[in-house]
Amino acid sequence: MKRFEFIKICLILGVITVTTLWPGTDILAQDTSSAPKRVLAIFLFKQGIPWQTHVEQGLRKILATESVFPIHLDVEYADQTRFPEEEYRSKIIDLYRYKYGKQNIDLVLVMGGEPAELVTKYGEEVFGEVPVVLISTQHEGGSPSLLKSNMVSMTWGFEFIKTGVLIQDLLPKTKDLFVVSGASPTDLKLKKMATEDLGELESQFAIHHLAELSLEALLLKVTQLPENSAILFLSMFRDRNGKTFVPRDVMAEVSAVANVPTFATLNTYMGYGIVGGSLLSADTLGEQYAGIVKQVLTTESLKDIELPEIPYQITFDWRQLKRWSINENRLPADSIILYREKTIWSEHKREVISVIVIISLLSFALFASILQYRRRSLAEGKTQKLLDERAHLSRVLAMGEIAASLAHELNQPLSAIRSYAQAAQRFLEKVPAQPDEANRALTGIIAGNRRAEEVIKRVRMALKKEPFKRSCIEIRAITEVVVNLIRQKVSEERISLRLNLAAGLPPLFCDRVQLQQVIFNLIRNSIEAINMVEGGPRKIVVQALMETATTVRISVQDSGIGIDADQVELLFDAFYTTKPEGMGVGLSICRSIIEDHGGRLWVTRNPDRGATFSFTLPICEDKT
Amino acid sequence: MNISAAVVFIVDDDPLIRDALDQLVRSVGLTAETFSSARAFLDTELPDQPGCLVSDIRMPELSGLDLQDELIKKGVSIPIIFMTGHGTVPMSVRAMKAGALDFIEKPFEDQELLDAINRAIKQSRMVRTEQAEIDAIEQRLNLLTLREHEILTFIIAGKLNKQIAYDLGMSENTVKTHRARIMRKMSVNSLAELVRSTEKIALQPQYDSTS
Repeated sequence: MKRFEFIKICLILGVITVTTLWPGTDILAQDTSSAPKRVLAIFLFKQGIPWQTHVEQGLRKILATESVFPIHLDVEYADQTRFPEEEYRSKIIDLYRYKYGKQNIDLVLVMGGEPAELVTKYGEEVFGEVPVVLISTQHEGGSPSLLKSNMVSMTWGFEFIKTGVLIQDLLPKTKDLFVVSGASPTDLKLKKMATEDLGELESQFAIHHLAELSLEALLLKVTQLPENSAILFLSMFRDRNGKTFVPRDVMAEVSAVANVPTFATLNTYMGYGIVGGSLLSADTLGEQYAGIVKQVLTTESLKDIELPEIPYQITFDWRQLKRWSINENRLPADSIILYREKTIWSEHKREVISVIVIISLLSFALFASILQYRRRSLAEGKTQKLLDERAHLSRVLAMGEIAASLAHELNQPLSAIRSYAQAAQRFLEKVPAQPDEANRALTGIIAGNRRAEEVIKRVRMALKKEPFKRSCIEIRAITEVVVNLIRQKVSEERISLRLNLAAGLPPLFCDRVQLQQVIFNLIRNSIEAINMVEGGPRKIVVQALMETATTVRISVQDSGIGIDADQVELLFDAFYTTKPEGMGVGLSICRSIIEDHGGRLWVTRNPDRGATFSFTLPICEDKT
Repeated sequence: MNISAAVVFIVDDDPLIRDALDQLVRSVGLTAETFSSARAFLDTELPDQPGCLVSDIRMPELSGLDLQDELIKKGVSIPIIFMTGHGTVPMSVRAMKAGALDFIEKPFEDQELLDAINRAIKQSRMVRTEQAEIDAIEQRLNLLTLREHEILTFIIAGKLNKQIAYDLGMSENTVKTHRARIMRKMSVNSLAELVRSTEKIALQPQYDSTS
């Protein structure tokens, strides 16, 4: 019984072995049919154009996952838009011949008018009889009569009109549509297609072309478009000056500076500044191409092959809808809205409430601490935490003071920049344009910009958010920073500001930023005091000298309006002010800073005119 | 009106603003000359051309308002457009009272400044035309003899030859001869024209009979 069983098993194994190893069995036949197929895809543009990259991704995705036989994909980027000349064409044909002439290519997929034309002409010679699928947009591609029997040509068209109608629906007030394109042959082709397609809308709004401009001129133009207009961005592969671009980068710049919303028809622009549009999806298009490739490879017939319907999807960028205040209710029902921002409130309600509560408590604590200090009763209950918080408040308030005085300094470069920009615009709009002059104005804009940055950098330096830290500081360094900050103002007010620092002063033990704020505040007060007097000398003297062996006295003396005897002590009270626009916290904070440092701050009336504010600070050796 | 022959003088201590305005003014085809201080402008001999002055108010040393005062003292009449970072009311009132044409706040729209400049140049042309006319009339007036001058003041007071003859103790015919000569020297054809010319130079008519 057991032996019989063993023989049976041996027999079965033997049959299986024979059948598997026997040539010409069904299993081997199966192997032949799943041998890899080679597909060569030829793209129009150079590598790296987002649109093309997405088409390729779609193509690869479908070819890789859904095929019953492995497909090897070779890709060529014909780059014919950059090199349209005949010499280049013959060179790439040579290259293709070299690379693919001896390989068994099973199918050639050609995308774009220029390569389609090229392959129509030379394909047979290079690739032999293999099926060739040529896909191009309408208005391009070689003449059908030249097609060989192994070639099939398919065309599809952009539907600019869909986006045009969309603009009309969303922004019914639109009177002008500015269609942006560049100067390369592809740009011009797109422009031509758009012009024909949008023709029907001409009764709704005027269509203007911003085509064949330099990038700079384009960017200037789009900042000044009339109200109630919109931009339809087609492409810009090259500008008037021959500079080449990735169109999406240009689109991003255009939409960033434009004073009206930008629309487009390609999904690869989505997320880079367009409001939206009826968008053609590059990925889906690539997937459809892959479908055609598979169809041809399985049936090996070029008959009855057609492009499916072109995949358009109405899509919007939520951030741009907000930017241009476009009501979401106006959007068509099947629109997709991307990049919707989740509000902090809806996401973190609990955290927001706790933060608000904490901030209110903190503000209350800060306010309370000032009042407490005002009464000089802090000594009993002062904790390090409260001290730090008060110090921070003083910095924030000083920031406001400094910012106010620097507003003017920022205004200058900004004003210059505006004039330069407007001059540049006029030079460019002239017939003939004067690009050299415009260029000079642009240089001026850069200079102005740099100066504004300098101002901001200076404020940042002065207000750097560093912890309050006392260290040994040279008085000269401090006063120089302050004088630099305030020099412009002093000079415009025609005040003479003199520094009178005794030689060989030892370093002071203090916080750099806080001391700057005190001196800044005192000089500012002096300027205001001087401005309250008509006529007379206009001068401020900043002095520093040894007070005792361990302290230095710094004083700011002015020829201003001076102080009434009964005001002297009131001056240092928080919220007491003689200035209509003042908050009255400046001097009280100055005094608190100095007293924190172990010094004193006081005011004296000058014998002739004006007042002198003086304070003392300990020198360094004392504390280290 | 052809405005290309006019000059726009720009005074600002900020080199950036100066250059920017220079470009802006030239971008509309006007000629610009820039000065880095009020003093530099005052020290320059102005060309015999219509023009206007665009000046910053706040400048070290001489401010824009000081510049305006100096120009008035020197008897230079040129329309002034002041620019300011934040125009304070008293400052602009003082400037306008002293005859500033416009007061614009930085940063401004280019059109705002260019409109102001066009207005200023138009005014400068008008003033210049008027001045030229006055100069011509005064030149003609200088051709008159003392006696003719005297008779002229009677004529423009509306007196008849007979009255003038009586007042001045001369014959009516002599007055007539003088009158014809005055009309010729002043190159006018009618009494109305003569009165208009003398009004322009503010010549006082002689209403009293006794001189």
